[in-house]
Amino acid sequence: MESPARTQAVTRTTFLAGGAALWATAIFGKLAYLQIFKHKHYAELARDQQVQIVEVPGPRGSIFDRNGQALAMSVPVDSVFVNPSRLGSLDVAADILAPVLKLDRDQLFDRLTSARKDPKRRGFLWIKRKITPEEATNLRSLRLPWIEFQNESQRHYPKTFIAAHVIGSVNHEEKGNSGIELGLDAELRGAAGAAHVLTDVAKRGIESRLSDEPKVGTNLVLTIDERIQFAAERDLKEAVDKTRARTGTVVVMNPHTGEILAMASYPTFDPNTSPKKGEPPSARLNLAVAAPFEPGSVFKVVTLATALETTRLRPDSILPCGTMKMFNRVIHEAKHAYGPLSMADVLARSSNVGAIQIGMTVGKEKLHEYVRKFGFGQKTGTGLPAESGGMLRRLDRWQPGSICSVPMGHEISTTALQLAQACSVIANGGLMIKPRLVLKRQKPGQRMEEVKAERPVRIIKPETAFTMRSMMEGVVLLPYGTGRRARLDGYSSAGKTGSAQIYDYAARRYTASYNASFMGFAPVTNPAIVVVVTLNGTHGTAGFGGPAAAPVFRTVAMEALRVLDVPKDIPDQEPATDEPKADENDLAIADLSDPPPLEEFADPPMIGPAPPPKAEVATGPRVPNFKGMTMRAVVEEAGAMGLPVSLDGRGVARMQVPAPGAVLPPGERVRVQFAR
Amino acid sequence: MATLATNLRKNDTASAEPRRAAVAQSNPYLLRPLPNEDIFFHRKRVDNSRLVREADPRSKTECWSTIGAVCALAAVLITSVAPSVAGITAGYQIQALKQERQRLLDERRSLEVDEAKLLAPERLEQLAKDQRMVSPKNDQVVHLQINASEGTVAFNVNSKKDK
Repeated sequence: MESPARTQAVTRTTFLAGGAALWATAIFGKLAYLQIFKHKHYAELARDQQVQIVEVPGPRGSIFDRNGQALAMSVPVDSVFVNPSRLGSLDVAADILAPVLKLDRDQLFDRLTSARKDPKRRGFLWIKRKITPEEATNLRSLRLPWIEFQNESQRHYPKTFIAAHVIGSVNHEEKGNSGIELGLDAELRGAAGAAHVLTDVAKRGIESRLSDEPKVGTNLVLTIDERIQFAAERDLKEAVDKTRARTGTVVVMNPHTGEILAMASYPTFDPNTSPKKGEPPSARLNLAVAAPFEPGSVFKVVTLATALETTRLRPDSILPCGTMKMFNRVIHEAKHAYGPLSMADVLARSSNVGAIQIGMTVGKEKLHEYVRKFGFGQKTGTGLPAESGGMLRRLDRWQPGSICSVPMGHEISTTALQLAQACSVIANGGLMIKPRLVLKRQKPGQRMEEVKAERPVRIIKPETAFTMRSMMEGVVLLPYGTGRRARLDGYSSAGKTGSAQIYDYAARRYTASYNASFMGFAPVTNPAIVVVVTLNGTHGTAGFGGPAAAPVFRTVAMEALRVLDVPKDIPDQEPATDEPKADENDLAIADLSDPPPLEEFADPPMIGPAPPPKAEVATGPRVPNFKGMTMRAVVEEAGAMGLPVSLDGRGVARMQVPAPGAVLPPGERVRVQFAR
Repeated sequence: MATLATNLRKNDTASAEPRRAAVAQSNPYLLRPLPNEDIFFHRKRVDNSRLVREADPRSKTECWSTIGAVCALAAVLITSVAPSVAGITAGYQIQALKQERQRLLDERRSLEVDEAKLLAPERLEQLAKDQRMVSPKNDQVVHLQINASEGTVAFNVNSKKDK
């Protein structure tokens, strides 16, 4: 039998062991509970403490000009926010934040107070978005935990006004809201990614893992040349101020590739700023593509090109350009009757009656067909938003008087870009080439790639285009041409002026203000550029295309040709000043039709179209080719043949009307233009 | 716990109390004595110089074995932990470099914007005007004709490339 002391010891030991076992069981039980059953919960808590989700910026793509000059770039910036419910004293917070962020202290305090009371805010208030680096540095140096920062991106347009309408702008979320920024928003837009960063107790990163790949926007290189764009905008502004026009546009285009070298609209805007109060709505509208207008006489180029293509009319074909009676109306020139004119002179003098005669010879079906072929009534497809296709009525909606209006650029509306596209057809030898704005694009992580141009389509014969070039050169070169002010120093140029009365839809009548325009190209033999200038809302004869728009063509074209390093093709000379004053009245007759020209007609007037007049066929001596001859040689040869000649300029013969081989009508002279 | 002071205190308490009371009565402004302040300890000198520790080779071996084992264990531990420590250190460096790279990229973008602002044609024209520079007249502009047979000039080479 065991002693009582031993029994007691055994009992005590047993109890002690039991207690220890219980204790150990409890400890291990708790450990098992924490480590196994609550593992997920505590792992998440630990992860929340140790792992930070950091935003990885996905910047919006940059936009460059054709020479690599940055036109739009995004730069990362900080935005400041606080949780108002966690702030101790709103007074102190406002006192600290307002001076650093250059905010009004009282307004900030009011915002903080209302944000704290407002349950919808859920403890979040932007103090200031997109702060400057200096402000961020100053704020961070305060080391206040309740001031929190959010990475954002700020779009910069370092050239401010240059190409503002083409590039457009973005909203505060960096989404495009106009221009290329909107048109190609899907390509340009970037999206921020996220990375999980494992941090230590001091919040220093130990390792990171990309959980959401950032999407970097595509970089774009535009066809725009910022130097030509700058010159175009500068000269356009001067012209608008000088002529007191309301708005204006300039488009400079390469006729062979369709690359738009400059596209200016006035008034303009700074895309770095949001719209201000009192800013005209047109300031942010790209008028060159979004504001169609009745082109007026510049459209005669299309009419004449169609005539050359589809009829037997030639530059020396004589047309009676007096008054004519159509649809019980007497149609006459804007100023005075010219009498018989050659087709070339119809263009040079911008004869309305002549253009109508030619239009009627062409016929409305062919005219409509070729107007469509030249790209009118349809968008050019540059990718710019809010582009207008202009207005060209369906053939079955033409009223009888339309055949008189359309040939001289009424009852049709076009944009400046469409005119540039049409003029390029003449300049490049008859090919329709689509205008384009994007030269290259660089997708993230890839090399810069050229954007291929669409294949050009031939719409008129090369010889038609060359003849038109020659006739358009006459507009600029001939002493009575309406576009004399578009002559360039050292370069040959060709073009056409236009002046169209503006229709007032409210008053339902044409007003005394004009759309002055000029479209042309240079050099004539191998055109490097097409330039279209429009000034909207000019007044008086000084507001016609010749005096108002042609000088803008001259300055812009000179600058562009110099920038593009195009070799000169004629000797340098100052513009002639001693020439007799030419009639620059190229106003297209606007009021041929009573109804508004661009409204649809429910009941077209029952007036049948008049039979088209036949072009007169003149008889007389054939004109020799004087081109390349000196003045003395021309006089001698003309005298030998008994031809009356009219000589102009100095140097060698560069152009003559009528063309070589044509018949000189009785009473007419051979006009020869000389140049060095 | 029984200490010398507390044991002694038991005997002294009876004799000390009347003395304290007497002092308190004689001068009520005097501080009362601290407990056991009247107890004194005497140090006893013990000379252990004659004691000699007996050499124990077995325990010495055990000691060195223990030291060796601990060192080996430490080496194993360090070897196993070192890669992860190195990984963490490298992680710190990588993160710092990543942040530096991002900062430099951001700075480069800002500088590119600044450069573009400085090269704006409007600004350059204004600067040229301030310097009283004028645009060349048309007859002052000469377009160089590129002819490879006439030798190469740097300008011509560049122009040719552009074309």
